[in-house]
Amino acid sequence: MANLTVQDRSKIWRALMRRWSKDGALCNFTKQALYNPQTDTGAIASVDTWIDTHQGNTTLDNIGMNGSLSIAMRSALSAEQKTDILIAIAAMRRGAEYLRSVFGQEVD
Amino acid sequence: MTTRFVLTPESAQFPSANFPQLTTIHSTERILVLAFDPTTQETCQWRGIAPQGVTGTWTAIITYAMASGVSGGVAFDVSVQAVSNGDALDIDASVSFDTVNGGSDASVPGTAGYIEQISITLNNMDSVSAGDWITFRVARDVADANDTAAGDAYVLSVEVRDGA
Repeated sequence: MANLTVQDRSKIWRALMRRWSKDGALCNFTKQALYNPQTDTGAIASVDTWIDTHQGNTTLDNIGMNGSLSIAMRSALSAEQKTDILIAIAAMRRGAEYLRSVFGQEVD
Repeated sequence: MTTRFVLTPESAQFPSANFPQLTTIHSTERILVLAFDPTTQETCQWRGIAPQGVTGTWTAIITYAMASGVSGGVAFDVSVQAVSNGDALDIDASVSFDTVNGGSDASVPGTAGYIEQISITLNNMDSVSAGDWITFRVARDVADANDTAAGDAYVLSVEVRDGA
């Protein structure tokens, strides 16, 4: 399985910010640090690439998800937000409908 | 300066697509707000009659609070359409807005829920005069370089002043 497309990563980006806006979850980072569709960079791209790179590993891997994030985002994201990112990306890798079943109407 | 309009969330009018959600914040006070998305440019409008005595340069003051973002900035656009008695504009099928007036706040409040106000000078007022049927269109300019804050921006009110 390849990395998600920019379109799919953007869907995750929008869904997560809608979710966190609804929850009032503090976002001490910019929307571009979460994901920038123009440059295909940011936390969502980092974690998706991390999943893709390591999904075929058969040995214990010492590069954790946190290590895939930029230094700034490691501390800016809360543990819950990191979990949301991981869940959203993993779900989107199964398809938008799967992601929608987890995040509901926040997914366009 | 004289306040000419106070535009509230409950009096906003919405296009057929890409409009801010009219929602409430505060679990018990149920404060109505317009929730502007951070990635899709959403617009809403207010319509009325330009009051008698309007003069000088107009200004829009947007009062907002962030839903969750405490880093980065936000940007808004305000466009104006002024239609005079007898103007050749088919309002049933067309619009004729003047050039967008933009403004931004480079730093949103450090606490979500704190309000801040952005003042946007309305240099492009579509040659409005007293008695005109006037439309104010407000949008979050999500593509603006200063619009970097994550999450929704809640607009609580827009005050429109003139130079009188």
